[in-house]
Amino acid sequence: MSLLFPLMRRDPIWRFMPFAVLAGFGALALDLKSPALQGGIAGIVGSLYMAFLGQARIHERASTFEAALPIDGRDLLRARLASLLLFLWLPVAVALLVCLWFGPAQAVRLAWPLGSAAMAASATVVLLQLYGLPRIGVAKAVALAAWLSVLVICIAVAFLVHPEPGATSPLLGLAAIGLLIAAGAFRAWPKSSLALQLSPVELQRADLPASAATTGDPGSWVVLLRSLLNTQTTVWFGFAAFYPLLNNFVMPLCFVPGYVTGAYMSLRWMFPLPISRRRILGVILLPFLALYAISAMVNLTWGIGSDGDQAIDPRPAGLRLASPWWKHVAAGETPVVQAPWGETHSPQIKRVWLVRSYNPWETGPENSRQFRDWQFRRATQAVFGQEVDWADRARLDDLRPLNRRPVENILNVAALLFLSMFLVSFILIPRWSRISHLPAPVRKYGVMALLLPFVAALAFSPILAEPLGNTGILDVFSMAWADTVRANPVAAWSTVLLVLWLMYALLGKQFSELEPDNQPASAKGRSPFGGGLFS
Amino acid sequence: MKPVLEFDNIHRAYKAGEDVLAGVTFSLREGEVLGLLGRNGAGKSTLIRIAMGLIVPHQGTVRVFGAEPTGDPVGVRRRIGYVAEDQVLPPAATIAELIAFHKMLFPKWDSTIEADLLDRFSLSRGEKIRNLSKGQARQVALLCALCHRPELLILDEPAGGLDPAARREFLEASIQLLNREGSAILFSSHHMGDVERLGGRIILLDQGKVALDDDLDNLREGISLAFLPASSGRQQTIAAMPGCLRVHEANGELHAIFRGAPDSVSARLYAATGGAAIRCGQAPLEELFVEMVGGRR
Repeated sequence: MSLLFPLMRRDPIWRFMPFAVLAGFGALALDLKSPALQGGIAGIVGSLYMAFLGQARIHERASTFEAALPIDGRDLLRARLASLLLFLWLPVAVALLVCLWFGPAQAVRLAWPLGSAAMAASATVVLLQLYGLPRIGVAKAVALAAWLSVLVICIAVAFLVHPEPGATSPLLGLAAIGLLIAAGAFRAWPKSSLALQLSPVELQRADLPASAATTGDPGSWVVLLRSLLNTQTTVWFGFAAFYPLLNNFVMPLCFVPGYVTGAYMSLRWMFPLPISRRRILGVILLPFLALYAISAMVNLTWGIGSDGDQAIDPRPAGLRLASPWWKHVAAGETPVVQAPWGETHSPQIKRVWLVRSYNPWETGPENSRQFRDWQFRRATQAVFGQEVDWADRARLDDLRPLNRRPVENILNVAALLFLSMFLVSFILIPRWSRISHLPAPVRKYGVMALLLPFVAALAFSPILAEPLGNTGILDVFSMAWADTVRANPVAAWSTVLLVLWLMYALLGKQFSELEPDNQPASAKGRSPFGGGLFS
Repeated sequence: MKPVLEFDNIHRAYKAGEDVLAGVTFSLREGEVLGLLGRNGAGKSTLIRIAMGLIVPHQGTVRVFGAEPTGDPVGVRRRIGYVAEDQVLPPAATIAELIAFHKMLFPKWDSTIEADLLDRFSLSRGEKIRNLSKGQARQVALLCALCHRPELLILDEPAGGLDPAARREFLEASIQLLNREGSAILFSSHHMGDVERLGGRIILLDQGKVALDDDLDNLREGISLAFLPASSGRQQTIAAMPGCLRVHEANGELHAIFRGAPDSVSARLYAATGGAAIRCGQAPLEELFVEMVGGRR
């Protein structure tokens, strides 16, 4: 037990703590600012946790170095589990404590979504750790049970990200079962032989079947696919495709650093070969961007992002409207809506950074019901191409809005791609030969300092763009810009392609000036912040 | 003969104010074999990575086949074979897939050499890289580096970590290429046996500079190592003598390295020190290496 804390202190997970805490506070701020987002908080926190954990090699109990030391395997397992679980629960505890300052009700309300996410992640961590046990000789039935439990917990996490009413209790039960299995395996561990405990890391899997010999030419590009599509990058590809389909367009941007680092590490063997760096960049970046763009475009065009209730949400207090129909207004101007019978309303101006916008079909508490109905009919005419009476507002579910108009969709997707490339450009900076003369800490932490405002802006964009939703900030900008080119789709396409091409060309230039291996081999790590692009 | 590789006043640092390379200048001619020697951290791998265009010098110029390696990286690398100790090969790929990929990249790929090396190294095409031993993976890397008949073969600690038999197999394949194709070879190694096997010219890097640049034969026969008792001012006197490469004190004795035959060096030292007891002889390469760079840290 005396070794527990020294081992915990060495755990590589702690280097991710500042980011996890930031994510926790970001989620907390979102929750306090927009209680309506409460259900999504678990998703945000859970996703960020999983992103960090994915980088932290949570399936390993110890490094090769530690495994070679005369340390009881139980101590290694305890220390690793304790570190991982503390990592998961500490930000939750901090967030809840901070929340208490706003009142016990706030903390109670936040406890379930945050706790759910942390609990599911904990179960995954525990079971992934235990999955290692069968590989050193524990019965295969236990291995199968552990794997099934992992599968169940993963499904539970997925549901907790977007909770369904009534689904949480069974999920809680499943997670509890998973934890029970974990506890059982943990109890069984001391009964295994001392030799196993002393060498708990199986570095080479002996059970891998030998591949069949082949003399045929497998095709020159197969090796690229095999290199790029490993477990880690496949997870990132999955996120890039999955989140936009769930109407979360911003989240994949948070995964861009993880993906690029993983892909870079997988393809760095190509750097000494006569292949242009721009091609390597294309191999790394284009599949991810294509998947991201296609997924976003599919959702915006045919998916839930194009649904009527995403465009107009009639509420007794007023009409909530998606961003593409907001109008922008110059500084100093005050828009006034006047009905034919003379009744007026001055819509509230929403300011997102430098863009001032307003909902042209807004009504106020001072307005008459006639005015509200009139505004609603005008809004539905504009959004759906046909007038709908307030009394028939249930019909909105069956209508599809004229939006997402292609121009806005294109601009929004282009903006996401631009931001992705912008982010990639940032994370390449530490290895950029042009600044290789700067001290490594300056390069590494300087980039992180530069990145923070950018990530914060992304994380808080739903607040800034409220009530426009998580693509609001992009929508507002694209709307402001699209007004000037809507009449000319050719101009829109040309501008988009030109900007994206310029960004990609700049990125290609930067990538071709990247120094892939400017650190001694012994200093390289496998995490994005301990090695790879950030070393 | 034209130089295939030229370094001119190369400086490079990883930490501000701590130059790994501090003004390295030399060139490698067509068909020449050049061994880079130096302690860990002497800058051998850094220099090789600069030659490959993987990193850039902070000062000075490098030219490979007359071009900057970062200016025309594809053109330059197409003429180079490269094997490094820490080279990463795609673990999920099979040997056949890796070969197919290299065939696409190198138009001059020679399938005869490929078949010859596969047979010689007893490598199975269908085997995945991740299932290979360290030695086999290095053999695959060498195969990929040799089969396009490179004009310049760059080997960065290529046999590091290999057992003697695998190392010999590896070096013989490299030597065979040298004899057949007349390729220039730049290699770095800690193993003096490897250096002596490959032969050619030796450059010793020490503290970021070229401390020694000579043919292996000259080093074997033209360098002497002398031991004499230390006394006040004697080290400075010896260091100022013509032909003295290095003199340092160890365990109360002065160790002096001189250009020249042992008899001649012994006589000059005797005269300069006023009859000190001197032991002088030819230095084996490993001894020379230790005396040239040892005791500085």
